[in-house]
Amino acid sequence: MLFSSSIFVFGFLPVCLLFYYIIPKSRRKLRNLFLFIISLGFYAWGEPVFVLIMIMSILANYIFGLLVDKYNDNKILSKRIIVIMIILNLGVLCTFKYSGFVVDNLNNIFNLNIENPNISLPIGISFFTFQAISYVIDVYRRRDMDGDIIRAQRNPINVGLYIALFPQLIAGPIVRYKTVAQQINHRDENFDDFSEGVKRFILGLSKKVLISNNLALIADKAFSIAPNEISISFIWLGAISYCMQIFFDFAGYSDMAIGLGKMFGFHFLENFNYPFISKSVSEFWQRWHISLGSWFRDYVYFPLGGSKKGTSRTIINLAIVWFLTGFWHGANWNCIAWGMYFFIFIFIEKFLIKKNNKLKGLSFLGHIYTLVVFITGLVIFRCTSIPSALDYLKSMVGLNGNMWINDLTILYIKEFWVFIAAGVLFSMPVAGVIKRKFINKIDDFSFIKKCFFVSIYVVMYMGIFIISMSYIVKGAYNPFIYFNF
Amino acid sequence: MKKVNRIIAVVFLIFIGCFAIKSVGIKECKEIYGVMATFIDKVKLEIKGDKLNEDTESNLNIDMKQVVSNTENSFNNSVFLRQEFIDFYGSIQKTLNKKVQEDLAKDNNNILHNIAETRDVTFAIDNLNELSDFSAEKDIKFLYVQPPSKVMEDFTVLPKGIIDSSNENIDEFLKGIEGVNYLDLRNNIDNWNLSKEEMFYKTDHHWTIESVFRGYSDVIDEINQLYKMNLDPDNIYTNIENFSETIYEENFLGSQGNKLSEPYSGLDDFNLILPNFKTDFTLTQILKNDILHEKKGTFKEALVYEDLIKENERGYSIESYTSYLGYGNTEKRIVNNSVENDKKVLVIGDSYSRPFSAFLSLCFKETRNLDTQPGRFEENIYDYISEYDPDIVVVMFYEWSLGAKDTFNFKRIELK
Repeated sequence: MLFSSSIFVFGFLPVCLLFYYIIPKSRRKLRNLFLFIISLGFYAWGEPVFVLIMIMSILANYIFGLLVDKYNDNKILSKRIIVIMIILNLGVLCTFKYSGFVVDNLNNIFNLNIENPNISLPIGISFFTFQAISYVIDVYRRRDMDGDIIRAQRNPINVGLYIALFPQLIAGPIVRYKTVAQQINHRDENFDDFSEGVKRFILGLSKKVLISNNLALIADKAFSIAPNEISISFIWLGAISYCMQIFFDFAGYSDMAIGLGKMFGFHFLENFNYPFISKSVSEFWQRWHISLGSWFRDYVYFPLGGSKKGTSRTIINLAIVWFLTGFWHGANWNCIAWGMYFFIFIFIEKFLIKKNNKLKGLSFLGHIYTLVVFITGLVIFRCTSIPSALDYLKSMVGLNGNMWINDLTILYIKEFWVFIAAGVLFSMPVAGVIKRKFINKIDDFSFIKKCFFVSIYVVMYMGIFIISMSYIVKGAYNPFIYFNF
Repeated sequence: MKKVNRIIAVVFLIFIGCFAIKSVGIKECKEIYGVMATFIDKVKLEIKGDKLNEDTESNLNIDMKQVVSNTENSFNNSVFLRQEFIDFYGSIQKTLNKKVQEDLAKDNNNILHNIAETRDVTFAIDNLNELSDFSAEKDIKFLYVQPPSKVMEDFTVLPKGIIDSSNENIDEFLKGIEGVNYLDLRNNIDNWNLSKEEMFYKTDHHWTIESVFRGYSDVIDEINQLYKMNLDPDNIYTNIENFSETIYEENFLGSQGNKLSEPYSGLDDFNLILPNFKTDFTLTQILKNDILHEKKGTFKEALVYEDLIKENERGYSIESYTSYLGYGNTEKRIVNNSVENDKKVLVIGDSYSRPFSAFLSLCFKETRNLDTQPGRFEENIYDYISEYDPDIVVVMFYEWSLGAKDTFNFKRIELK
């Protein structure tokens, strides 16, 4: 079930909120049970059979958590449990996600004829598997965000709740167990948090439905034209639109997830922090899909030694992390190439470019460089094969005999300029500026002025909500891009 | 600031709460229950028949997903104030001055067009040629009629960057059927005494009834010239002077407008053209060899479904064009009890051929109309022709249909 659907907004969500809040706050276990069951139902709605995989994952990781907690003092044994846990979790993930890729490549390389298993990919398996791993490892590590001790959940429902909680189940963010460990049994649902959650949900919904879905139309059109027929301007327009489509879809979903979490008393960490203001690729990845980057940092990069074992080892560790980052995004060579593409730039930034004070005044070059690198990288990500990606990249610099501009570019700019402008504007930290200049000063206004601004503010939020719902009810274009995850 | 947030939250909750209650009424619950119950029965049958195996589980997963999809569609269709949301969406698109939406474009006259890509018309060419040869073998006269294209030279200006290939597709098709007798009505429209704006609905893909009548008159002339059938020798049935026109203003929201909403597209006038002279018809509607119903009386009483012109609660009809002979899923048999000949015609086509067949029946003793699009008339056309043995077969397809293999699969063989 998509968040951006009428059945979710007018069906699932109101029913869920109603029954959740009917249960008294003192009945924490009952509220958790309800939330867990409804989350399973949410997943089963999209994957009626694969919900069993999730339930088995929950049970298995619940047991691993208990074992690792019990034998925590025995480092050798607990590490072995961790290894088995990782093998099992990644084994399931690899079976569903990567077996076809492995078989195809074995057949191609060794000229074999192994039958492709063609296993369907359960939606969200990449997300909930990583969360499950996070649970067991955080129990093993014993400390939460505040340095307090974490113990394994005795109640399997709570483990299930953590892994399967519907707001972040299908498209993240990857919520780390240590960030919500206390919240599972000790969260404080209050109306202020709920209200912030509502606002966040509305903003996320509008990002997805109004900006992302419309820019997707440009991207889809651009990438449907053969590389030797597309104009340079249109491929760039398509690539930039794709970049903003992905950002607003993903960031929008994250906003909705964070907002929904708040409605039920959970506080998740931010997943995006205005990545397009970055001045380097390294900085970009600290602002983009933060939950994934930090997951790989904490569970892969640091355990491998991070940057503490010399330059060569650091480079290898980085290469491994970026290989896995690319591979996590999809079982194909394009995604791997995309991951390694970023590795190259991060390597260059970290090891080859020394910090140069003379460059400080040219930070705008850093912005342009970062944007160009990311947009170009997304062309690799978007295409269905490496040769096709290279073809489009050639078109971006006119190496396929492409004309500079054509009627199609002008048509699409005319048709979508509002969404392009909104995309550019809201990818910048505009909200923070508005908040500082106006919102935070509302209490100082006169009564009439205050009423006026409050009315505008409320109307604005409900206005974009209603506009978003009109797009949803109409059945406007609403792509789901997380089928690879 | 917190107070403002609370106001937003309260308004939001009231909004989704009201919509939840109003959207899922008893009727919708019954519909959703029905979808799920059908599926559960199917599962029970599978279990009872002891058929659970790998394939079944895989099929069940697909079936369950289909149930989910159907339920979501049912819910979306029952959303409270659904049409108001859609109209609001249309208003937004109009405000944004959108010229291109989905596969539709608005031209310089605010007329909507389906953007036609280049189609592979080879299958249509081959099958039409074969059908013509078959008719010749049976000594049955044959005529292909190409209705005009909504994209008209010297009139239609689509947004720059939009390439429409409808006329090229038609040219390609007609080139392929050069050996067949055909009439390309695109060459006749300048003689129709109609402005180009009057020839097609701005919100629908069909030609207007005014155009249909002119096209029909030209077809009768062509048949008489080619085959000397001497239809309408006194020029009564093809003379517009002998017909009355009733204009239903701002009555019709066509298929294209209905897709994009009325605020965006506007409404069309609908012109009902009826004979002023005496007529006596019997129309039989047949579905899968069963008689659905019969209508007898004048042209208007027998051949026109006036209910379909009636405006709904929103002030327009989405089915006015269908008022001539009704929906396309049935075989139509029209007997003209007052015409002075015993000629029989079979009209094979898509929805363009329906009002055309109604007018054509003025000149023939018996007229039958078959719509060969998928889900409509699905029997073997060759068998039908052999059995019916008409004097002439007239085939008419809109450009859109020329790339549709199923539509031109007259022998109803299994297509790869």
